[in-house]
Amino acid sequence: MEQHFEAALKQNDSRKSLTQTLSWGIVIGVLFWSWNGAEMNPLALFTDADNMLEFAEGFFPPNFHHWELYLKEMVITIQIAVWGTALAVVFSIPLGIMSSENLVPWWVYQPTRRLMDALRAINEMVFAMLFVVAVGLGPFAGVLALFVHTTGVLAKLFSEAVEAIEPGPVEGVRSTGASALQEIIYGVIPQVLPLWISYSLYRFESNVRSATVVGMVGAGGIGVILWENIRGFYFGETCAVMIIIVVTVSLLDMLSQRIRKMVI
Amino acid sequence: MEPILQISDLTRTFNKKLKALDSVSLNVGSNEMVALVGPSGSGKSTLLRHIAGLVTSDQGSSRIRALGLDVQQSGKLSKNIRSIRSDIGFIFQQFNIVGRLTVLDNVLIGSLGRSPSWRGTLGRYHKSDKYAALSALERVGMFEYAHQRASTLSGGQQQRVAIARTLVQKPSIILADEPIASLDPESARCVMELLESIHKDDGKTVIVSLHQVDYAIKYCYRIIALKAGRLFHDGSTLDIDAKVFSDIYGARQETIFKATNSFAHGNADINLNKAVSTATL
Repeated sequence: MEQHFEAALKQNDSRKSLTQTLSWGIVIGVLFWSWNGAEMNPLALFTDADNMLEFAEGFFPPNFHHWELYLKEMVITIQIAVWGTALAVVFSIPLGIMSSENLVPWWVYQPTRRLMDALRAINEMVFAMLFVVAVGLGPFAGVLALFVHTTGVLAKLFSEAVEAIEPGPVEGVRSTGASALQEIIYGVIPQVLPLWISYSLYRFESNVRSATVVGMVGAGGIGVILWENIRGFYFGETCAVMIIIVVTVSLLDMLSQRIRKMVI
Repeated sequence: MEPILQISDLTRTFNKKLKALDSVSLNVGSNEMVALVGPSGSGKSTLLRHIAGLVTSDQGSSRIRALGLDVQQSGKLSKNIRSIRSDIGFIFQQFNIVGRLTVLDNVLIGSLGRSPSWRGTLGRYHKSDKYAALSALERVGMFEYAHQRASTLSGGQQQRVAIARTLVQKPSIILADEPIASLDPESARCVMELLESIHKDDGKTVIVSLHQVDYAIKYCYRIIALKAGRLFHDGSTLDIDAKVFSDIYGARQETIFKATNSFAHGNADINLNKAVSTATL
């Protein structure tokens, strides 16, 4: 009897150790392969330590002389994120449903998903550069850049929530003679709503962070000031702007976490 | 008069081999209360889901007509399936109500099929629908819970909400797919009495699939038995004999049947309860 158990355990262990060795091998292989391409040079951290120290000293003390301008631009940055996220949420609802394989046939969800992949693959900064050319310098270019990229992300997240729903309630709604749209409104949306709200808040948080950099390519907000200060070697001012960004982003993260807890 | 439900040569094959339903033909007249029995996997659920137009049969001569209209034929749903569905109520084993909506919102869903589609889609229900929903809740004894979230209710309460939703639908036929299989005995009795009242007081046709032979005998007049996807028995509850049940379920059910049948359709409720408790042992 015990021999029987021992054999089973041994087989289990050997199978486990084989997969473990293999996965570690792959991880280490990938790290080696990437070393040269990334021009990894940890020694520079030590040989150039003096330079870096001198550079870092320039940041202190932070210079808050123009704090009113910084705050005004920070508010604009948040406003860019608000509109970028809001437009993305509105468009992600139909696009997310059109990407869910439990609701639509393959010839609808396959093309929709590929389109969303494309929107996701291109970074906000790239879209920002394009929209600056299209609609001119300023915050609106930033809004459009965040909107397009975030739609790609949220539509995917929304559809994943839809694909995880319980089919029972939807069938319950269907059995009353409801239309397909009503099945979605009463059977699907109530089930996914808390997750959708949570994902939207996450994206808002990360859009505030992204909105601070789209300004670097001229798409408005605090990024414009950040970029001008860095280019002009005004490191004290740069430090002040960075502190404002860190504080604002942290506060908003805390706020949205509160809201998330309330809806779930 | 045309039967309210006509099923002819209904066949449904899963995975190209397994016949869940094998040329089942039967008629149900208006104002009948029918029990559908049979072991797990005999095709009870599949049959009911076909009648409601939730799934389609194999292609071929399969055909289902309800209330003089085609539900499906040769594996194709009727074009106006949604209006037919609104006339066929369906009560599920797992209730299938929407947990995050309130009890009242769940019951109002029952009026979607009959309302103009803009009203249902925008949630602008007519006042008469709201009254109907509240009166249905009153009838199933869930009025006080109207504004509570459905997921906070017990299984028996959720099933009563599901029945209220079906009542608001005002269907002519009610299909109940093992409505009491996941309920405690007291809730089960309550649900069966509601179904009986819908049949007797409202004059609706009720088809209920059951595992409990004693409930089938107590509440229904006609028993249809399926076995391995085929129609195995179809007859009145009064002249059914123990052999049928032992053939369907195996010998063990025979004793339960004997204990139960002697009280069937009588008012010896206490004795019946005793028989029920033996049955559940």
